[in-house]
Amino acid sequence: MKGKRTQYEIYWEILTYSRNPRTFTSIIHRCSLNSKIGQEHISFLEDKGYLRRFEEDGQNLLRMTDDAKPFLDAFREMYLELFDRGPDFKL
Amino acid sequence: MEQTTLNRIKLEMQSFKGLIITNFIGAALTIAFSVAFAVLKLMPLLVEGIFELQMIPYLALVVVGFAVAINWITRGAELLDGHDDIVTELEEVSPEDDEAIISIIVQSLAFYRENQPKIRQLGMLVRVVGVFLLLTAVPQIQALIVGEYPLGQLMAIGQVFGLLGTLAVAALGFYAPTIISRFTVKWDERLSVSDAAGEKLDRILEG
Repeated sequence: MKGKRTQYEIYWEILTYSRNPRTFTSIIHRCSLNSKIGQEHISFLEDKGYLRRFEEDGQNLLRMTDDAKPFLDAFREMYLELFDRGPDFKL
Repeated sequence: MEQTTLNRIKLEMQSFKGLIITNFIGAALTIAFSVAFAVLKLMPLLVEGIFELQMIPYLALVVVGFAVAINWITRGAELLDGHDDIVTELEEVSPEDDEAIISIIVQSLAFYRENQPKIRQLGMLVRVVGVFLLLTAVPQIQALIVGEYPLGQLMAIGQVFGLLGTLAVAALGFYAPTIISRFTVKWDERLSVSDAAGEKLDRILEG
């Protein structure tokens, strides 16, 4: 991912990717974050109860919880609306 | 609704790509015109090594025209590189896949946030090139009026075509910033809406 994202966009990426259990490394790799920033965002989402940490087969995994759904629903609605409004740019 | 959203995104992506490609063509033509125009004036220097003071403006014209056009191409290529990554991902998105569509929207916004100054500079650069080409057209018009190339001769026909080409690209140089401005207005509006969305999302996170 190139470009500047807002923290909310990064939260959305972490949460949607973590619908299935993921390791910390795979999350920061997928969301193009360095480990320090990735740790800050993931800790924030864990504190909010949007991500849950658990162990499986000796692996430390993270998974999105149902508490994150209002955030994801609101995000979905607001971001889809950005392209539902006209007029659009075209040549 | 999602299919419409996806179609709109695709249309915008294609339009932006078209705009950048038009810029490439404009830049290439600018290089060609500046070289063709100045080489003629600098012929004594190139062939016989005779330097005259009156050649300085033409030398400057070639250098400036070349530098501006190369800068123009470089900026366009940088924009196209980032843009193409999004387009490649967009081609694989299914209209039913909301998350993939939102991911494209997030990437597009991130792309615009990062490249906003570059896109604006591109608009200014194009206008500068428009002015530059109009300046190069002035002596060509003068030569036609004075009859440097008598009408009916092959050179005169070539001169007319050259002049028309210069004027066409100069017109593009004046029109392209308007299109770029339409693009930036639309995306500024989207950034502003996404900022407002951030406030709402913040309330949900704090709730």
